Amino acid sequence: MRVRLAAQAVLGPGLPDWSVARAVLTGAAPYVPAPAPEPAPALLPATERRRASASVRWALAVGEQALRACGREGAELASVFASCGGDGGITHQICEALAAPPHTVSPTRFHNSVHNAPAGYWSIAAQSHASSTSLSGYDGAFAIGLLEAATQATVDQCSVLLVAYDLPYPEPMHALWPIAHPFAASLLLDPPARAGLALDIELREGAAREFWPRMLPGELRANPAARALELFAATLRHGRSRVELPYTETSHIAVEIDQ
Amino acid sequence: MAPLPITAIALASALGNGTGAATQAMRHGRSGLRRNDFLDSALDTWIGRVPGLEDAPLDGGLAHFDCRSNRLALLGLQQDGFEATVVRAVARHGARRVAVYIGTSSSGILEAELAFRHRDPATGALPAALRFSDTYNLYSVASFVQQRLGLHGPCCTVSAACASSAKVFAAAQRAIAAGLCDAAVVGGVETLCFTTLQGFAALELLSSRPCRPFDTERDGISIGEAAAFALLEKEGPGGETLALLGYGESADAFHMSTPHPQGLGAARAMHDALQLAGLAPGDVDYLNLHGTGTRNNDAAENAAVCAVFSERLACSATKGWTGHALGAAGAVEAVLTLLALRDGFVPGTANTRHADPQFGIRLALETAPQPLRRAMSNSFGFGGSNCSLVFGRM
Repeated sequence: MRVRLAAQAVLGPGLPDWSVARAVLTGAAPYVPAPAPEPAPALLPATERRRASASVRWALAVGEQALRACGREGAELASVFASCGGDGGITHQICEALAAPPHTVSPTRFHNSVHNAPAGYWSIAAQSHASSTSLSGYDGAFAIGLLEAATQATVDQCSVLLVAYDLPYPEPMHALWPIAHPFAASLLLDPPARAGLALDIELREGAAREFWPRMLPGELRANPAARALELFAATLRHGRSRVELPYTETSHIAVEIDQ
Repeated sequence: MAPLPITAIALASALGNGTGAATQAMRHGRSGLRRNDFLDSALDTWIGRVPGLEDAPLDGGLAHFDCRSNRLALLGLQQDGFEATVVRAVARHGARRVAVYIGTSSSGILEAELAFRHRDPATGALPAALRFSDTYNLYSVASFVQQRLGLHGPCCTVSAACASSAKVFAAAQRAIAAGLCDAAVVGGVETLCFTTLQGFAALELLSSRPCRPFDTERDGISIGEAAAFALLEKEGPGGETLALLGYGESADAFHMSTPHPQGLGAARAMHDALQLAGLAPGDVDYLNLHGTGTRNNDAAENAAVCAVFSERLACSATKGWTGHALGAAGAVEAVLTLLALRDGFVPGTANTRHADPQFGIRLALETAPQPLRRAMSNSFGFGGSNCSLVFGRM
C-alpha cells in the first residue's frame, strides 16, 4: 500500500515540536532531556479547552501542529486516533470515585472517559464532519493507527490525519503499565497520486526488528506512540530506507521509503 | 462499493443465547430487560444482563484473559455455529488472511473498578488479578477473539463510544478492499460496569423504567450487555447470501454528549451509506434506529431520518428488547437487522406504547412479518460519532 507523507508533528520530552525532533534525528542538534511543554491546542474554544482532559490536549496539539506544517485545514479531513492506554488519569479518577461512597461519578469526567474523546473534541475544534475513528492496541497502537490511516487514504482516495498519543498512568495503575514519558505524534497522509514522500506499507509476519534512533533515550520507546520516531528517523535518511513497527506479537508493519 | 458477503452471524444478549432466541423473544413480545440486579449496584434502573457470566471463567490456554468482557465474547462466539464457519473460512483463505475488528467502549474496565475496591491499605497497590494487557486494556477483547479463533491477520479494537461496533464493518470492508485480508470477523462486545451505569445516571440519562424509545413518555436509556459477531468474506462459499452494501461515517462536531439537535451528522452518515451502496432512499425497506430512549437523542434522530427518507419507511428501535449495549450496540443491531432481512420481519419497538406524535417517522410498535430487500442500521455515540450501515442480499 503506497501513501504520501504530507506532514508530521511530535510532542514529547526533549522534543517540543517537529523542527527540534528533525534536528535531533538528523544529528544536527543533540537530544536535550527536558519535560515536554504543556500542550495548548489553539483551535479548541476556551470553554471546551477547560473541560478537555490531558489526552485530548496532547492529541489536539500534535494534530494542529501537523496541519500548520502543511498549511491545511481540518474541516474536511478524515482522522484516525490511536492509543494504547487512552486516558489513565480519567480512569483513575472514576475508579477511585466508584470505590468509595457515594459511588457517583462526575458527568463531564464520564463523557471525557470515552476513548474517542480526542476525536470528538477534534471534530469540534476543526469543525470537521468527516469520518473519524478511534483505535486501541497494545505496543502496536501506532502501527494499528498507521495501517488504518493508510488503508483509508488508499481505498477512499482521501487525505487522512493520524494522531497517536499515550500518557503515563498515575499510581496505582502506573505499576501495571509503567511507561515513564508522555508522547504524541501526528502524520498527514495523502493518497498515492499526490506529491510527497512515498511510504510503502505492508503487514508482515514475525516480530519487528528494532530501529530505535540511538540518540534518543531508550525508555521513551516504551510509549507506543513514540514508535512514530522510528518511522520519522527513517524518512530523514537518504536513499532507500526501511523500518519495522510492532503490530501484534507475531506480526509487524514494514514501511519502505525511497527518496 | 461492491456488496460484501456476510457468511455468518452470532449473538448473545439479554434476549438469550443465539439469534434464534432473539427472534423468538421479539416475535413473542418478551423484552430481555430486568430490574437492576448487577452485582451490588443500587441504582433504580432496568438492565439487559446476560445471565451466568459470573460463573463461567475462561480456562485452558486463554485463562489469562479471564474477565467478564472476554467471557461474554466467548459466549457470543459459541452461538449460531459461528466458530465452525470461521474454521471453514480459515481453510479457504488462510489464518493470516482473516482479520479481527472488535468494537467496545469499556472492554475490561469493570476489572479495574473492582480492583480499586481492594487496594492495599498500606501501599495503595492494586491486587495482582488486574492485568493491564489481558483484562483491562481496550485491545484485550480483540486480542482474545483473535487468539480464540486462531487468526493471524489484521487485528484492532475500535472504540468510538456507541458507534464502535458499527464502524468495525466499515474498517473491515476497507481492509478487504485494500487487499490486507480476504475475510474479517467483526463484532461488538460490551459488559455492564459501574462506570457506564453511574455515568449515565450522572448525566440524568438513565430511565428508572424499561426504556421506551420514541415514546411520548420516554425518559432515558436502559443499559444492556451483549456480544455480537459477523463474518465478512471477499468471496462467500456460493449461493444467495446476506451482504454489507454500504456504510457512512460522520462526526457531529457539536458537543461531547449531546447530539446535534437537527441530527446533521446522523443525516450525513445515512446519506453517505446510501451513496456508497449506490441506492436511493426508496430502495431501503427497514431502518433499525439508534433509538436510545432519551428525549434529545430520539428527537435528533427523528429529524435526521425525516431529512433523508420518506415517511413510508418502516422504522423501529430494538434497545427496549436488549438494552443499550453501548460499544456493542452497533453489532447487536446489525445482527438484528440481518435477522429481519433473512427471516422477513420488522422488529417491534419494545415497551413503547405511544409514539411521540411530533415525530414524522413511521415507528413499528409490534413485531410483524414483512419481506425486506434492504435495511439500514443506525449507530450514534458520544463525541458526535455516527455510523450507518446498509445491508441486503446478493
